[in-house]
Amino acid sequence: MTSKAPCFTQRPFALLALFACAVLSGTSGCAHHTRAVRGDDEPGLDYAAMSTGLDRRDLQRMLNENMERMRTSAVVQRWSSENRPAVSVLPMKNETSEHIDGPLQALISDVETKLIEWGGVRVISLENQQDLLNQIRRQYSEGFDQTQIAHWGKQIGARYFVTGKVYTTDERVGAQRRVQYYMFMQVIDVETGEILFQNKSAVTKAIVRD
Amino acid sequence: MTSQRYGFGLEYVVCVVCSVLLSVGCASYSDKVRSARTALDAGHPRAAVHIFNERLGVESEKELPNDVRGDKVLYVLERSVALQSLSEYQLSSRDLEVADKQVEVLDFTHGTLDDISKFMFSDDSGPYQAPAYEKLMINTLNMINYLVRGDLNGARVEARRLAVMQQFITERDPKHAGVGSTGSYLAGFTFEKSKQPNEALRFYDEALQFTEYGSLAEPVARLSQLDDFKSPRLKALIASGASAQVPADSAELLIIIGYGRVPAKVAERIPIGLALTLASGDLSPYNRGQANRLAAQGLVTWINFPMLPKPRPIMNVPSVLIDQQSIPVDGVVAVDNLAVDAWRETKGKMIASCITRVITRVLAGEVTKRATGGGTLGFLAGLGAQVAMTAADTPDTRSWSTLPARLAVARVRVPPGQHVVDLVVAGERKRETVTLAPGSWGVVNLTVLR
Repeated sequence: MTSKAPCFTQRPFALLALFACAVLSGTSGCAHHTRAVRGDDEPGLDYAAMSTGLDRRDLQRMLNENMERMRTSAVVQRWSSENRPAVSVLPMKNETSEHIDGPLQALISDVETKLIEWGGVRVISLENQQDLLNQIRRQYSEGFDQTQIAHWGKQIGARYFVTGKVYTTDERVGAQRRVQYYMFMQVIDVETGEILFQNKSAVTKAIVRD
Repeated sequence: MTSQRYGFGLEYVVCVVCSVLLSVGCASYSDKVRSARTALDAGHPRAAVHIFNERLGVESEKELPNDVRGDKVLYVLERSVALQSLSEYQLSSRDLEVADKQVEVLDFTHGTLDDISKFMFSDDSGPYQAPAYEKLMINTLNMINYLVRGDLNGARVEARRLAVMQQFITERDPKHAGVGSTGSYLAGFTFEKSKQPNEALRFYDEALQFTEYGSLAEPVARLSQLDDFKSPRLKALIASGASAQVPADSAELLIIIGYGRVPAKVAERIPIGLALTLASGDLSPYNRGQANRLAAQGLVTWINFPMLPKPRPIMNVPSVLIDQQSIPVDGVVAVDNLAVDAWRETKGKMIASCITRVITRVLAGEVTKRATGGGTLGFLAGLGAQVAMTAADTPDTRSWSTLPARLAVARVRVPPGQHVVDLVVAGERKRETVTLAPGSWGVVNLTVLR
């Protein structure tokens, strides 16, 4: 009897005490150690999703899917019969609920690289035409005016524009948030404004509870 | 045998727990940011930014800490408003965007361990859970940052984020849906200037649901000619007779003024009798009985509790002059009242959890005393356990305390050209010269946090 009493009184408290240590060591937040790491040295670093934003892996996946479709499309076949037409890549429109303008800007160079690799076209970069680039960005910002396309084409000397836009469906339910991204890529005929190619690729990012 | 098995280790464990608890027992959040609030009261937002930098462990406001977890997310939010008041809109945007993501993650990471930790030790031991009005204010304030810089792309992203959060709050907690009316107004403005009339009208309709905005009569009448979206509120506004015609080359100015500051929670001791009355609906009969028994024995007399002081009376009326002409201020949203409403809703639960922790402490002391065999050692061990747990129990005074108490807008059509905007509120004056092209727009902001 006497030997049992401590079981009921001491065991829960001992557990409580140990639990206290465990909880406090977890919540006091005093012992975070941070260090800089290199992607090559940390396997999987580039693969883990860190947020609902778009990372390099998402962008490359959507871009590759769209570019692969474009490569086999009728418009690219047409380019081969046109004696290296001039093509320019316009910035992509961000119509999402995430601040991804920076990553989208970086995609322009990726698209240009692919086009150069394919051959058959002359790629005219807008990088050296900052005034025009700013004008295009302002147009994107304040509502797109389709009639401007021919004007920009003449100014740059481009026969075709490659461009795109990214949309999201953003939902939050209970303890989960899901963002579905859709990237549309287009090839536009500068003279007519006609869309000669369009394709969509999609990626979903989410924060879910384990 | 069992006694021997636990007897030796127990004293050691008691000492360890007491040491750990005492070591983490620290000032409450409101204590940590008091000096920054004092600096803002004195009209020194730059000094407040320095204090937040120190709290974040960074050299300057250009830096963010590597780790924005824990209370640091609140320091980032606090700093963002101080930066906005200093017209550092880009840095304020960066802070708000980082905090927005982190607040979202904290919302999702709240788990059972945090609940237990709150129940046993302290309300502020779990991750910070931002109330609805704070979440909506993140996107509202960041929209201001983008609009002032003329960046409609960024403002649209914030407007979309606001819409997602508004929908979430409407579905989960409909009575808080009206919190974001200033945000809806700004989102409507953003989409109107982006030439997306449908979205603009929908956001304006939401804004009008909770606040009267006389300045929306003309834009709504004009946008209704471009899009079919109608609602009873929009129809009523159109019927008020505002002209949809505006001079073709005119420009538009939007003024956004934030002033005052929401009240900050402070730790306060209240008598157990009053606490039991205030938490009567949120306390289980068992805990109420326990608390009454301990109170009757004189073992519990006070509880430490986060109180929200009454908002300071806002006597200031902002003055807006454009080229020396006075412009009426429109749709003033009282953010401080939203903070009070949010606190009132959780007050009972918070007191209940404080009482529960007090009961736990007293019982833990009793158990320790008995477990260590009573006598002097038992008494000291029991007392030590209670003292240590009391030290760790800091009332949860965390809140976004630099939010402006009021948000007001003023809007006017002006001829293209140069205009001088004079804004005065709470003794602070801002003069800005704005040059507007025909058909263009501009946004001027003044945030005075006192």
